Amino acid sequence: MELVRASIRMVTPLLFTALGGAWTQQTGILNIGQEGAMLLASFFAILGNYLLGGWIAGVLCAIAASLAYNILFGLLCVTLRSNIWVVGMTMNILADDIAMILMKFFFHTKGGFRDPSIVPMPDISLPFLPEWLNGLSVAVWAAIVVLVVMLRIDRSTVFGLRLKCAGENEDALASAGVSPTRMRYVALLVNGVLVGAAGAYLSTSYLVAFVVGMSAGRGWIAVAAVIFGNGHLGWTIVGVCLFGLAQATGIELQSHGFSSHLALMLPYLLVVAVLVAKQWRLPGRERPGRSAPAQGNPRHKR
Amino acid sequence: MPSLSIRGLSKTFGALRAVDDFPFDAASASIHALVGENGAGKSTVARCLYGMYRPDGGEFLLDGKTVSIRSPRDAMRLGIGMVHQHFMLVPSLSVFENVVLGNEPRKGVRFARDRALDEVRELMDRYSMDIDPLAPVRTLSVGLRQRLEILKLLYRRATLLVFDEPTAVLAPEEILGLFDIFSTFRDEGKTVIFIAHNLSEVLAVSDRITVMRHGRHVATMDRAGATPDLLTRLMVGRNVPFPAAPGEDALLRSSAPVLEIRDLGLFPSSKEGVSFDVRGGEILGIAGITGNGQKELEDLLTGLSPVRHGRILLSGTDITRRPVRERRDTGMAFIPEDRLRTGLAPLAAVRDNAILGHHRETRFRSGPFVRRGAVGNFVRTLLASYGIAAAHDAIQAGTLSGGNMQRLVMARELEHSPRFLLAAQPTRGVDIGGRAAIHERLLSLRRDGGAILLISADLDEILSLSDRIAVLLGGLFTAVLPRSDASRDRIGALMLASAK
Repeated sequence: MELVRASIRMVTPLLFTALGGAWTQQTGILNIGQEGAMLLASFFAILGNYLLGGWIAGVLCAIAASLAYNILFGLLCVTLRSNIWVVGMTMNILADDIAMILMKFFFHTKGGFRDPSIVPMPDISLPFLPEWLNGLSVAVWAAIVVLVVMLRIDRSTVFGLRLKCAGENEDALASAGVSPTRMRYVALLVNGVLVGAAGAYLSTSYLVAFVVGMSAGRGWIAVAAVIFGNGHLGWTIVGVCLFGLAQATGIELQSHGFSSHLALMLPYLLVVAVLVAKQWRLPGRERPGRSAPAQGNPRHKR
Repeated sequence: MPSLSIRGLSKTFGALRAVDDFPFDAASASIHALVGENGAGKSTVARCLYGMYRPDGGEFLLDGKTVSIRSPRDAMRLGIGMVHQHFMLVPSLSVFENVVLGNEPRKGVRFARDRALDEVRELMDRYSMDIDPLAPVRTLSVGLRQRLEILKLLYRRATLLVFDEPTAVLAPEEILGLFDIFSTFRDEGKTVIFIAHNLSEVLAVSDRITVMRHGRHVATMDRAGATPDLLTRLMVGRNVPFPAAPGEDALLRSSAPVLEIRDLGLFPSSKEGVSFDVRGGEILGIAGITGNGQKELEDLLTGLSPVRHGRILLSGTDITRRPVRERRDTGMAFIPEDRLRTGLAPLAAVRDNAILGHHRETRFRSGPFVRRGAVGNFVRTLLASYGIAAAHDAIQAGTLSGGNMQRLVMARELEHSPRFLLAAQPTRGVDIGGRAAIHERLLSLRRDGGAILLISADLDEILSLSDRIAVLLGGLFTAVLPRSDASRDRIGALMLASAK
């Protein structure tokens, strides 16, 4: 049971991030800036929480920061059509450094910051819940609500239909009078809100502190899950659960005396294995079903 | 019902005046063809009209009233619809979803699937189109995809319908079906604008014809006053000799096969394969609707994809598992379908492209170094003798015009007197003048005893050049006919396998 609870805690930030990423992927943008957005959001959650008091203020600050980050990503990659990889890599590094500089500026420390005045996100305990579901963070439940809502939107709304068209044939969408650029921005904004929530969860619930590099590759694992699902929400969730379970198992093994370095490698090894296995099962050229949308940039429009 | 007038339309791309002060008038309830060579500006006019390009100048009038068209959405609102050269479909979505895209019926924010399905079914009944509305678009043939594009316009209640080269992807029988649809639209009072460069089709269906050249208006005439000769002269600006059909006398029937294909499976899933020979001094034409194995045949012969079953012999040597380089050394030359991807390195210099594949020959190198002088001389001669208009031999090959790129590929492949030439779509995107020159080169290689396999989507090209014609359908030959037995109708029927 402890493993399940640990897995749920691991999966939550991945779920937020990967769900948003799956939508941007549907519109033809593989958002590889997730790691930076998550880290920045973690920092701003602490900052808002500390300066304004209260976890909600922290979450709002985190979301504002990751929205700004994703809008910049959109300006560069969607509007100006720069290369997604160059921009994404650069912005990930930029986010790291911004967090470091601001920490120095506000808290006069480097490395990490914690303070008793920081209010953690509340945990939810309800009498009718089984014991193993009690005491989980409010963010866990929020993630489940987001999941259900997004699945509904994805399957049964006009918006969901158009999202997929933006990635698969943007000209078809444009000639039907719908702007693919707008769809991409909407997806990036939703992604921004969600990755903001993920970052806030990391620094004000999972831990109650900000530590340099605390996103620890979670953004990248979410990107891997997005690639695994290729825009399909169901498969993205499967990917997220696999990776979350692996992370939890890794930590569990550590407590049984396994070398911590080896145990913590587990999720990353699994990412590599799963992505390789997937390519192997579906040789790219003859892949049935939808064509892979994002191989890099949206096409240039004349 | 709408009549369209265009006044003084202009559009430039950088230094290129694609459309220059262009006037156009189409009456309501008529079929008006817009013809011209590739690059004459026909598609640009259509895209301006549909709001995809912002014109630099000019105005559009519908029924005498000036209208502003800034986006496809504006065009749709005015009842203008367009079937593009490249279809605007989403392959993984179903037929009915593609039809309603952009104007989806809703229930709140939800997509009213059932209502959309009913509406699409009703529309199909009305125009007696028989497509499964639930089938994913990727499973449809090209002909059906085009029907689907037309259905989209009807769903949006378009009354002015623009078709950008709609016949290029169709078999002859399907073209007749399309023309029936055009006539139905005219009878309903709709206006059809038909962009084309195949003159026999234009003459078969249009009421009026407008000719464009270099972005300018050349002439507009009634169908009654138009002849193929007149239209060709107006399109090209000079007389063009039609390619002389090869005479039977030149065919060396006794000549040994140069290329022998035995049971070659074209698709990975093919259980059966194709078998044929190409003899020296012979052109074997491969006809068929695009996507029936042409590209696969091309890749297997050249060695770009591995053979799964079957054998390929060139001049008696088994080359089935030989790499590309050995195939070329055995005397194979290749004019690929896609000159920008497979034919040329667009970012490399014209000079480098001209010796690509022959760069190992000792006359072009000394040790690991290129003999610049020798290459320079060779390339200059090549450019002159094939009439390739390049400012100099160091500019990037990708900056040449389509026709010049194709000539460059031809020059490189033919200069080394190949025994076997695979020519895939050799005149796609090449204008009438360039086409004649390329055909002449092919015929001259044939006179010199070369074996040529000609894969082309252009049935007229196949019929006028080939000694024998094979028809591909689903990765197999439905027939191999001598030219004397082949007619447009017969080949067309074989392409769809609706006749034996």
